[in-house]
Amino acid sequence: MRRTLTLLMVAVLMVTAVSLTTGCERKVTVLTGEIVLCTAGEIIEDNTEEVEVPASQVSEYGVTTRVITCDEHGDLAAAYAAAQKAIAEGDLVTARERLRTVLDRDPTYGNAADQLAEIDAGRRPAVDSGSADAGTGGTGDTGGSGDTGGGTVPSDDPGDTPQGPVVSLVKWVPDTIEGYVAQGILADLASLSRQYIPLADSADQLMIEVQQHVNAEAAVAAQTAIAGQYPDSTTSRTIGGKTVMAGVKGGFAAGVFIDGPITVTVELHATSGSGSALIDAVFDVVTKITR
Amino acid sequence: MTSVPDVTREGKGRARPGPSSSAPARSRPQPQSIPAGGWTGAALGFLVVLVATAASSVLGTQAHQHSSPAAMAVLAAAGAFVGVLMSVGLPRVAASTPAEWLLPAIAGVGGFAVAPWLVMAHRYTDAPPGTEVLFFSVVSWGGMLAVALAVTSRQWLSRAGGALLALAAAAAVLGNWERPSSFSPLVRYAREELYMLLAGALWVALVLALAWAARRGSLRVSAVAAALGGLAGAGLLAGVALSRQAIAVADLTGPGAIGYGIAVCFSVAGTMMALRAQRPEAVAAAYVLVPIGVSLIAIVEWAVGPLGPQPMVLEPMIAGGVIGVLAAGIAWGTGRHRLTLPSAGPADGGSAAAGSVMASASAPARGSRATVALRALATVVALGSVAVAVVALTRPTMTGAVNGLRTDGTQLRAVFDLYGYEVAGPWLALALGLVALGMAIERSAIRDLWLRALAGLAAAGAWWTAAATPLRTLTSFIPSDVQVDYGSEFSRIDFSGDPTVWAIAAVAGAAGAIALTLAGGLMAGSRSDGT
Repeated sequence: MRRTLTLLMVAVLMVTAVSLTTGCERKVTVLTGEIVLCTAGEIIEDNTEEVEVPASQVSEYGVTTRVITCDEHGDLAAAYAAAQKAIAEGDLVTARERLRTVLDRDPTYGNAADQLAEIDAGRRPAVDSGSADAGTGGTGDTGGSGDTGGGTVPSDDPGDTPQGPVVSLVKWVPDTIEGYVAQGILADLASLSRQYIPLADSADQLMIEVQQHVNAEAAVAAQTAIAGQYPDSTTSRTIGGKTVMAGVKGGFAAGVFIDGPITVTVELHATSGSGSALIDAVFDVVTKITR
Repeated sequence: MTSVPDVTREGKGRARPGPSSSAPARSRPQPQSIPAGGWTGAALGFLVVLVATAASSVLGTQAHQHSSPAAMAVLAAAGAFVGVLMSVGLPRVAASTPAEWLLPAIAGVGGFAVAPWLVMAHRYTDAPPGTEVLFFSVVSWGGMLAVALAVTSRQWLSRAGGALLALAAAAAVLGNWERPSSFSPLVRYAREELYMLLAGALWVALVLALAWAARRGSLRVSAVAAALGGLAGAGLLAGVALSRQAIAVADLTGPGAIGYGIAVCFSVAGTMMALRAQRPEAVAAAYVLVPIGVSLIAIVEWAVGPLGPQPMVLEPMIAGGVIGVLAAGIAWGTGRHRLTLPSAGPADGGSAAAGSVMASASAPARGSRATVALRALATVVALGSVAVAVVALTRPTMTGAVNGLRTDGTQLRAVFDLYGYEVAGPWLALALGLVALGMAIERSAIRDLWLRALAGLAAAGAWWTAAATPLRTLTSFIPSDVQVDYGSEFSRIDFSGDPTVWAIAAVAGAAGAIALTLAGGLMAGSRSDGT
């Protein structure tokens, strides 16, 4: 009986000690504020900040996203719309001039490159009927209404193609990577990811995640943070002029690089054992998607 | 018995004042002739309980979704009845006292019928998570039994520490079955899990009642009474369920449900084998080690080929498993538990089991000043280790980073600390400290001391690998619409951080104290050998 009481007393003392020292409400650091995105995919403003709040209030904080068309891309949209109008009227000279204006500032804008190539080849290109939307852009607010404001609603349908701001990130998750079978793209307002099934036995999953940041400095910080999540067997390699920071965590091997304000993370999961044997495979994937 | 009975004057009058040294033995009920089986029976019982309990846990998880709690209780009670008959058979003599059948029958109602009903009645389709159910309906039961047995042991502190070490190791194993883990005890399903602990208390009461019966030599009568009590209790539960149309014949005939009943049958049969061998600690050890047994399914999966991404975080899980096995060795691998018989007088009366006799007989002599000083130093270091481990439980130990998309489209990014009590490492450190303290203040045979010291030091060596296992992934403060998507493209949680200096110091102190105790024991042993 005495031992039982002793055990109970020790347990009560321990619970009391733990309660006294940790009983005060836990603090949680949350990111809160608003990110303003351009319909062209760039982050225009990042008005977020980290605040420390009581745990019970965490649900009241979060990051909302608003999508607008910035002045620069508004001008591009106007020039592109004028080019479409000229094509429709058969004025290919004006159309060519407007398309050149667009391509000088954004070589990937809409169908401008294809249309200019057709005009140069002496043909009349088809009018891009979606140009009105591209030109006017629009605004949206993710806070509370559930309206993603022009962003792409996440979907796991392999046939889905992202639309909106994240379209510019799609080039990092190509449909074809030799040795892998692509699955559907999953897109958010400022990021997207794609899973691939490896054909080799050594790995059972490849995941590529692309994130848009407010500027290159933020991307560099994110690269360091992401790389830090793979603390073992760390190494780095320069591929296509980009520094790829790689590491391993358990069965995962990952490499992360930046392209301006964008971070691209390539992560492979080993079929069994440590992911350290997959580091070279990660670099190989990076080589293929940066060609 | 701890002293040699004075038989020289039995029946010839008293040679000295006071009670006869053989009186307690004469007043005790004479054992029925059930072969105990000794170590072999205990080992076999341990293995049967381990495998069958793992199977009943897995099959119960599958079966409860297609059955009803009352039906599962009926199958459990029926399985227990068959298991009792398989293992001990029908009694050949009638019970000599009501205590031999009434108390076990009442305990049987609780342990064989109400306990499984309580567990099944508080499980939903996919909640609480399987890891938590396994912890609260199997591992914790073993832990409670271990502590109850430790209380009556000479080496109660080190055994209790070993039991805590085994519990923490099991939690570390379960916490590494997947990452992010669903293992977050007493957070989202605290009420259900407390009911499972209550069920465990009923089961422990039953095992203790039967263990006492085994010591009194009335296991056969008491076990059958308990099994009949279980059947009666299950019948009552089924009747109530029938009146509410909450049970159907189909609930009893599903393959999963029948498999569950069979698994319970073998689990109870194994328990009886261990009790016949008077090693109830084998049952506790088996229950605590079930997660390790279930983890071995991964080996089968590897043997037949990978069935998709392997979710287990292997290194810390294996380390947790190793510590669990070592903890079982520390808590139950040496010496022997003694159970206090209600009619046998004080706990330290003359009924000490053989292991304790051996422990006392071959325990190191108290020896020289150096030996005493080493023991004292080990005690001080171990006390410090325990104190530091308690501090480690209260300190921020790991960091959790949540990044998820809420249903309203808002992005939630939150970073918070996990305190030591939410991480495996500090619990393992505390348990090691208690083991070290127990070893320092308790006396044990040199051989036992060696084995427990080596196991303790090995556990301390494996500690680092398992230490950074978070035991709380789900919280009350992160919005549930984010938590429900953990591990998907919409939400993730990452943990980082290494063990704190406090925890490291606690483990180092425990290892040092164990080494000092061993050194002291060896010095005393060499002196008592006359070397």
